[in-house]
Amino acid sequence: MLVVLSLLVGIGLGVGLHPVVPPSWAPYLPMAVMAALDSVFGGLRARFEGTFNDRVFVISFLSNAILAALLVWAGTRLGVQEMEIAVVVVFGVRIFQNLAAIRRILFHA
Amino acid sequence: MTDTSGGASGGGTTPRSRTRGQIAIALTLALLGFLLATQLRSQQGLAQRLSIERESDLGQILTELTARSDQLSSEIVDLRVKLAQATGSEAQQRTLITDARQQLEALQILLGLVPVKGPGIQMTFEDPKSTLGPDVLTAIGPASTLAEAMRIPGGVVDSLAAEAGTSVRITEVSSASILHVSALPEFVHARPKTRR
Repeated sequence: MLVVLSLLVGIGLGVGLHPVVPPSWAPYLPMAVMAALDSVFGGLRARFEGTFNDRVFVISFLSNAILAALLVWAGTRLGVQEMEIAVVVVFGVRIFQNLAAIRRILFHA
Repeated sequence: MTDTSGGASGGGTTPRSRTRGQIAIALTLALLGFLLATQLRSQQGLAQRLSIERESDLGQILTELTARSDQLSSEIVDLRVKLAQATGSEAQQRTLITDARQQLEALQILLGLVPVKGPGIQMTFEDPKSTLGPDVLTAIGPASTLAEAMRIPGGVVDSLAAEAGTSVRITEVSSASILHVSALPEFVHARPKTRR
């Protein structure tokens, strides 16, 4: 309940304020969003497995998002232009695994 | 590579630390919503920008092609001249003269030596910094094509607005007339040689 409400508040703020993403940030925000989504699905899975810890959730959410953005930034600095793909693949696989685990718990299948 | 967020269970279970945890989760999820909305919105803006860029590329291609076509048409006239000179037949002489007349007419219109009339567009340039009134420019030609060409993204209207803040109003008119605006330049120091 609280979770859905605060998510809606966040979306409302994002839509209502329509913040402008500085062009220099443009490559990093999607990476941070991917990492954040991964943490959220990881948290959801932990919740269903009964191992959820809010401290771990908040810290992993923030650190994952920041680390993903930093990794891509470091990649562009080093001339590895496709660092985004690495981040997308890693988090994509993890999100998929977490969703599969949630599905297994929910439907026993 | 399992989840990062689950981790060890336990930690504080007192009511106070529970509410703190709830607030932290709420804030985190609000941040997620905010990031998601921002990212989705910026992606929409990006898609729009890309299509505009593509159109301004098209504008550049159009300019290049027009220049090339002008060059080729003058090449045609040149080659016809050579052909007529080589064969010297009367019919070809006549086409040569017709070509030359058409070119002369086009040049006279372009130089503003003869009055012209026809459908076209009127552009009103309003410069907010200028103390003078608005500038009006009349052009004759296919009206809707001309108007569309002026409004091409990244084209005349856009770049004027971006660089000088000038607002441009374009009206299509069914009959515009342009009086002859300039006289032939007077040659002072030299005169073009009459070619044979």
